Amino acid sequence: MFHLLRINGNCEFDMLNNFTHMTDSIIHNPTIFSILEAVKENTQGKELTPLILLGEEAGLDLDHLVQAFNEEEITFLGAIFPGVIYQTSKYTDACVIKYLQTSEKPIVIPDISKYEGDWLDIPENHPYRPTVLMLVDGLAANIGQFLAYMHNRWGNAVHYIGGGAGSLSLKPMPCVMTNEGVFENAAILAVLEKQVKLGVKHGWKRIMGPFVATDTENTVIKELNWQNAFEVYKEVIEANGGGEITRDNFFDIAKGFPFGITKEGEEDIVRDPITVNEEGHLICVGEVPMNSVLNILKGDKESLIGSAAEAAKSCFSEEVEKQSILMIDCISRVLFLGDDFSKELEAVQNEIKISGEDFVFSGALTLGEISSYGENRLEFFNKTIVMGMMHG
Amino acid sequence: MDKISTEIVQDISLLYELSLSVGQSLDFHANADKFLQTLISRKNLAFASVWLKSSYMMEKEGEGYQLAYAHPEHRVGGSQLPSDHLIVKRLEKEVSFSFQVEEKGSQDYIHEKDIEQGAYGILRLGKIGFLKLYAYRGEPAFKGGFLHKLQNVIRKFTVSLEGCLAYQRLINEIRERKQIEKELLRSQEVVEQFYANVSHEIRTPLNGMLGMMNLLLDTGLDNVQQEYVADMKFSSKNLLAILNDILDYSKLREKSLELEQIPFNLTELLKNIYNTGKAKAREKNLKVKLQLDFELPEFVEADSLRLSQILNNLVDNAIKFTEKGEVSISVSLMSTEDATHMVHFKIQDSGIGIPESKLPYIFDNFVQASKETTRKYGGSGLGLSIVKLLIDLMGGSISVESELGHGSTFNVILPFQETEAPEQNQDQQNHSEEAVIQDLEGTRILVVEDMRINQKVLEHMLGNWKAEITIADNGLKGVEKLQAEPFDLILMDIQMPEMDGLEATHFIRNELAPPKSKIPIVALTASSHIKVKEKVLSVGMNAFIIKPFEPARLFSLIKFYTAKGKMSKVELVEEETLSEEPVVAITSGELDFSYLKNLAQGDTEFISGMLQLFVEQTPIELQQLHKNVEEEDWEMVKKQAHKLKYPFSSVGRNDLSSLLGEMEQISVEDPNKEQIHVWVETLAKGAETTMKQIFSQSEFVVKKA
Repeated sequence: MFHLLRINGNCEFDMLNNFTHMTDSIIHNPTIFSILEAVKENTQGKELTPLILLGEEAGLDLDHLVQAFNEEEITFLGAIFPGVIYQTSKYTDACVIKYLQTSEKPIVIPDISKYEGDWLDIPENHPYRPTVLMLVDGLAANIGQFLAYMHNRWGNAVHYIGGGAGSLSLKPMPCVMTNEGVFENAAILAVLEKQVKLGVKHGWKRIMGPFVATDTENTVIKELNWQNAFEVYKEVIEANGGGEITRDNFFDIAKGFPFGITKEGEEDIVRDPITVNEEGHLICVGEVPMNSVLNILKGDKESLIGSAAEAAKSCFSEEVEKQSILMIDCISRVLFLGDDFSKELEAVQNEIKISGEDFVFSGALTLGEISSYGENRLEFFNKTIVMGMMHG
Repeated sequence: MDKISTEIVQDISLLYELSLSVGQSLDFHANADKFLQTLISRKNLAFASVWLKSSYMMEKEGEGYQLAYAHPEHRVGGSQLPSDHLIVKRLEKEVSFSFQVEEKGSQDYIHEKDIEQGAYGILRLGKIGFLKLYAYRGEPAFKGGFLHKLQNVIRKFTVSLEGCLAYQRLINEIRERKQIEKELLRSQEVVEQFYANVSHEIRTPLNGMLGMMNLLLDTGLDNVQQEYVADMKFSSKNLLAILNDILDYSKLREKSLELEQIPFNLTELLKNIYNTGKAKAREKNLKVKLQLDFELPEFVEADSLRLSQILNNLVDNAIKFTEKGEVSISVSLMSTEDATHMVHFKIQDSGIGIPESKLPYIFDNFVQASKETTRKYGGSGLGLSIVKLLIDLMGGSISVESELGHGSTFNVILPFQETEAPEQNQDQQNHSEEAVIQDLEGTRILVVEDMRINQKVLEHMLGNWKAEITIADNGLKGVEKLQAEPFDLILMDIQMPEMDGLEATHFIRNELAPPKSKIPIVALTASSHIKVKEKVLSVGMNAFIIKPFEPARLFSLIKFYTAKGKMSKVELVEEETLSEEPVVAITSGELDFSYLKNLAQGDTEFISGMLQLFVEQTPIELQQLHKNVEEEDWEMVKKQAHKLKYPFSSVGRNDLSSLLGEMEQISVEDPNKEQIHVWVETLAKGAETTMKQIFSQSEFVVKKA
């Protein structure tokens, strides 16, 4: 069905004999030249916008990359992530390029904390509900509020898919980009000219709760049930087979015991505690509202890998002309699953085969995932798979 | 936990979280947003909206219901509902209800866009409106009597919304009130600015008129004509005083008035205030007292001009509103700390007093005790406001005590910086004589002034000083004349047609070659505003003089800029000369030998000799004065008055000495025979009393002539 070719010895892409499928490329040890060559090759004569997904160890000068795209007058969008996905493998030093049909040039929102939802126009004149792709700086503090504004403005007139960019080191950095430059604390939006069928799953199950987050500030949980958050968390984890948890080994143990915020009719919205500060406050990826009721979740490899298969199944549940899959998978699932993470990807590939298709899927390993659960409120997830299948 | 227990825990958790999300803000939208976002997220809803009765909505009119909140707003399909809408009718019977979108007739309840499937839950919000919830996933969202479970939280939510609406009404009322206050203040400022502008415009021609009146008096008028002109001058000066009040007030209000800090003789200033007041009081047969604390510093540093303005105003008022009795000025040192003297000025009168109801407003602008006060006593009504603002500016305080019909007492406390008495050099000693000569012979002056009246005044004044004068009607002509002829100095008006003074100066300084570009330029300005001062100096003018200019000041400026190196001499022309008279505690009308005793240092014969001279010479000199007055030889009246000042002051009759000082001044400037005649009578009676007192004392030997 498709052939793998090599360009400059380190680039491969799927050459399709069916033009309804869009091409994806992966470039190992990418250079600005090799990225541009691949993009020019694949976009020649087509109105496609390249989505550049860079592993954080790709080692490219992003400003130069932007400059190179501008010199070639190629409209693009992209971001750095802790890793990228191409088929059943993940990479931290490669570049995955997806080619998208977009209705407008990508929109940059330079500082999402100052965004008040008053200047973004709703995409109009679409014969079907379009999809907005959102690349957000995953370490920005006000993502939840920003998404609420977005949803208020566009509501269910669009589908949403996206993820948090940045480095696994959790150091703030400029990490999302378009022809306008490389940005920190920013969001980039692109309206896709394709319908998208979404699958959102994580596979984490409640083991203890409810706990009331009696004192929080944005992404920081200070108190649980009116007590120091770490003390409460430690007690629960140690009582549930997590072993002794300290400030030093917090990340390694906590990655298996995230928090869940109730969402009736769906899996809990996961909040991933990544570190504990000196005051015993737990710092999460994503906001935890004051007085929200939380549960502590636990996952096992089977349930997580199973959820990947379920997410894929949700995407393929309708008989449509499938064209491409964008997979947004949380980096903390990689950390939790370890070497078994490839099984999660294999489970997805297996579902593609079961559906009778055989095309490449690719995506990014992110710091937080974005989706609207179809018709409902736009949410920022952790430890979750968001899969978008684009179709005609 | 079993399934039922789990569901109960889940319900309680949700209600608990919702309950705590209520009332997080007094802002309606923020309050509704916090609660409903929580509800939408936890219940996995797709939409929520709050509808309020129009009468509860700010700035909304009419019957029915209005959309007050919605999320996401994108789904909103309408924002008004009639008061007899089906939802309203149904909520009159039940507090909540739900329905499936697919149900027959459901469309009558739906006002949102893109609703194809799912379920609605609608709840009454007390008396103020209702809440609409929509779940895309349908009936499961509202199963198990969820709307019923929500009732208590919704009641709490309703109360919090009512609180927000009440708060918003309050905020709006305060804002409206503040806006009205702001507009009032603005209109007050506009009125003040209007007065200031108009006053300024009137002052300029009025100054010209006063200048012309002075010239007119020198043209050999007969007595009647002189009287008419004197009346005109009197009225014009009154008008000028009112205009100056308005301008002062305006400057004080916009904080553009700058105080000077110069050393001056405080006792001398107080004595001048006293003398001026006394002369005015004499017309009403009022007694004026000045009492000075012996500890009062002689020299202090402050703005003496503004201090005089404050005290003159208070003393003038005291005299104006007192028909009989006395006015007393008492000044004492309250404290001295860190080189700052706190001085207490007390101005007390036995006049009409101020009604208690008016006391709190007495320092407000345009406030007088009554309309009758304005009619009877005149004035701008700004005097005390200016006094208060000046005192505030000087860092002091003022208070008033008064009883209707029994007089008023104004207490002023002002800080003064300690200072040394200024040294007097030879130039200072001689400067007045230098100034009197006033000779500008050979000095070539270009006057650039468009107003004929001002040209004439300057022509006369400069002509008297023998200066060579050339007049140009505007800046352009001035520049042309400067290019054609040599000049030593330019007197430059600011506002002129064709080219104003600022433009002309800029041209001279930047376009002409030296030495013409370096010529001294003195601005003639009708405004003392600090901005005008900055402006004239910034374009390169050397100095400015405010119209109407004192001839001495103008002369000194010209002299300074045309004869470099004599600066100290000419600059001091303006300053007051130190009195030759002794500065002692003064009490009006009392014989006092303290000065003579101080002078004699125990030599009683010297004092007897001095008193003998007084009783022998004073009647003769007074007779001569009387004769001069009868003959209307005003020059001689001036000389004779001057001659008599010292004998009276030497025996402590400073009241009579001051009267002579006034006579000395008026006899030349504005002679009024009738008035001066009355004063001569007063002097004669005063001399007679003094001599009787001298003869009746036994301390010093004095023989009758």
